[in-house]
Amino acid sequence: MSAWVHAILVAVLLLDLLLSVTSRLSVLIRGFALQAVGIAALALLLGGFDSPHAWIVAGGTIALKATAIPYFLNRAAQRTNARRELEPLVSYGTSLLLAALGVLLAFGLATRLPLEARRAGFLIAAAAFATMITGLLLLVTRTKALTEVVGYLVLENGIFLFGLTLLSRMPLLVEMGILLDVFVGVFVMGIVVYNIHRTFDHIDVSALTTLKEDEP
Amino acid sequence: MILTALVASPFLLGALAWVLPGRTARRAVFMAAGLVQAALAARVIVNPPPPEWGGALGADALGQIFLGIVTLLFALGAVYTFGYMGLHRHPRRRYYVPTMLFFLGSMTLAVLSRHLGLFWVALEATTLSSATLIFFDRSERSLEAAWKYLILCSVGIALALAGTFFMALAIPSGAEGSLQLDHLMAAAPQMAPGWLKTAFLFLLVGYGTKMGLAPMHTWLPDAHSEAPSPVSALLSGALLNCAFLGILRAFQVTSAAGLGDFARRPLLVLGFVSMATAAAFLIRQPDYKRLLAYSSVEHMGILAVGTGLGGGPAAYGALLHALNHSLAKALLFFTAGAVFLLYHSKAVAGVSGLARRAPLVAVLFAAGFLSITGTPPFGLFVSEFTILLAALAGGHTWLSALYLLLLAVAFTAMGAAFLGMIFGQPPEPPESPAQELKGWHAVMVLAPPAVLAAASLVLGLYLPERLSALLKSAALLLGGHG
Repeated sequence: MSAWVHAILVAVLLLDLLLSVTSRLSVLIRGFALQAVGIAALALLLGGFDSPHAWIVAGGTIALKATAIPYFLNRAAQRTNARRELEPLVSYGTSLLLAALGVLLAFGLATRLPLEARRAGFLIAAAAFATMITGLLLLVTRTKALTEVVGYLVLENGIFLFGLTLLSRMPLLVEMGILLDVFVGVFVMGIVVYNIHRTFDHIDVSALTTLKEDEP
Repeated sequence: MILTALVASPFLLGALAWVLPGRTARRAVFMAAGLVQAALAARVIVNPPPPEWGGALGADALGQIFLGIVTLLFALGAVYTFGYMGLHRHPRRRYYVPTMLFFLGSMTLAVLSRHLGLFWVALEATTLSSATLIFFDRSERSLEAAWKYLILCSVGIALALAGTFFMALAIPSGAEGSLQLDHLMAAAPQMAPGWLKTAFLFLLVGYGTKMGLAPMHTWLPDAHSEAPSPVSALLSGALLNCAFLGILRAFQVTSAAGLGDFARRPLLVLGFVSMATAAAFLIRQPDYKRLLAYSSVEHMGILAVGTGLGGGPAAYGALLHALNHSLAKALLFFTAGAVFLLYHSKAVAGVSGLARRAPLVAVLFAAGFLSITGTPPFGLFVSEFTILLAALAGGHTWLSALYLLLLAVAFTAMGAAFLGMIFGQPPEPPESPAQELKGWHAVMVLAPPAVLAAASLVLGLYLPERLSALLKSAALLLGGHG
């Protein structure tokens, strides 16, 4: 595995830590987009520069995840006046600690699984797990709707990173389908967030508690 | 060609409906789509065509069963929609018809795909298209429900994608490596068991979320109760089955690898947890649409139990149960829509004296209740009994007792609610000017549930030879012998 691949994977891991401590939505969105750029580069490095398949996956990732989705999220943030996540369920210090533990756990998982180095490099699996854990952490500990959307996207980044090791086994149709699903998903989530903002005048999803069971 | 046409036509007609001006034109497209889909699906089920897209798209016995369910419910739902929207003062939304058709197209792709990656893409597409249908009302409650549905199901399905990738990693290096089902089944005996087990668990939790298995079911009662009734019927009757199919596909591969015993245990656990959770929330449930939604959780639990017991008869029972549940649940949601039109209330306490107010609706509601609780002679009795016999034959005495107990609790809880709604005095004087179900719209609202009630009754009395053969060959795919 080339030095470039290692460098990008380390950058992805560092971005995971950044994502888990920042309170600014714009930084979150940018961090996610940078990760997507890294994944696109990895698709080329792992798939080979002569493979049209790799170019299409990389191009699709850049176009949708690094360009269209961040643009759309930023617009949604403006329209709903969401700048910062002020009330996370855990403090940012705890968040960083949990993220660091997540990275450790990811490395532990990557060593434990019967991983064949030939196909899935150890570091790729570790970075993929760490990114998935960071995404789940954002989903669980943040309360603003848009932050949760970014959490979902980061989780998906991790899974897609994992999928890169399978580039030769996956039909292009499926990879494009995955990218398209994520894009449309963010689009639909954006619409719902906008409507929540209009109806409730906030996008704090921890306050969405009308639908629950009354004690009989 | 025919399979491609089956998948493509809803998307193309949906796009057409999107650009067409005027409600009448969109309605015509909607009806046409239901008819085309029914005709093509009937052709596929009667005379299964060879696989297409290099084997990624095909109609095996499992696919045929679920294709039949999706298409039947959609065609009836299309008829019902016009009656319901005609009587209900719903806001008119231009995107309803196109979105419904995209929803149909993605469900059709899911049931026909024999490639786990393609299946994932299709199932995620069903989430996205149905989410916009859930917040059709734009009320606070429906927005909350749509948000929960989107985020929980998307995250759940993301985990299933990870599981799909793990399964690809389990393929040994020598074997022909793709996520196409035939390749996976062929390579299964040589797969790395560690990866395969991890893959199965991720797929089970991921698709289980979408299927509404407890404890990942929390979005389901909200989404299914806040959606308009025709959409609720499709969500409960058709979409949950599509997610179940994803679990069955993972189960097929895991069984072929000789890890069937490993896969059965978590299925049994999730199945019983779902049945128990649903039973607890069915008791004195104040909202009748939520009552139906929790009943879906219960029946998804029964499907998981049937699959988890393993062996031919149990798998056969589970598949028959999937079919029966879809018929009965769509019947109930369709009828619940009619009840809502009459009483303008979703509260159990807000509905009484249905038998006097609208006898026909009351008969359908009662038939739905008897059917969904597995009362003979309805179809669900046969399938629930088949699963029970399989459990007893497998020596699971305690599990059988627990299964019966949970079924009895569900019966009692639902019975109490339905008795109160069907009998008693109609509220007098009616607070709002009473809406009567009259005219063509009423026929379109009441005919689909009547068809479903008849079908549910027929399946309880007599199982056609062809259907039984189809179920048997599907059970065989799940590793059952005979």
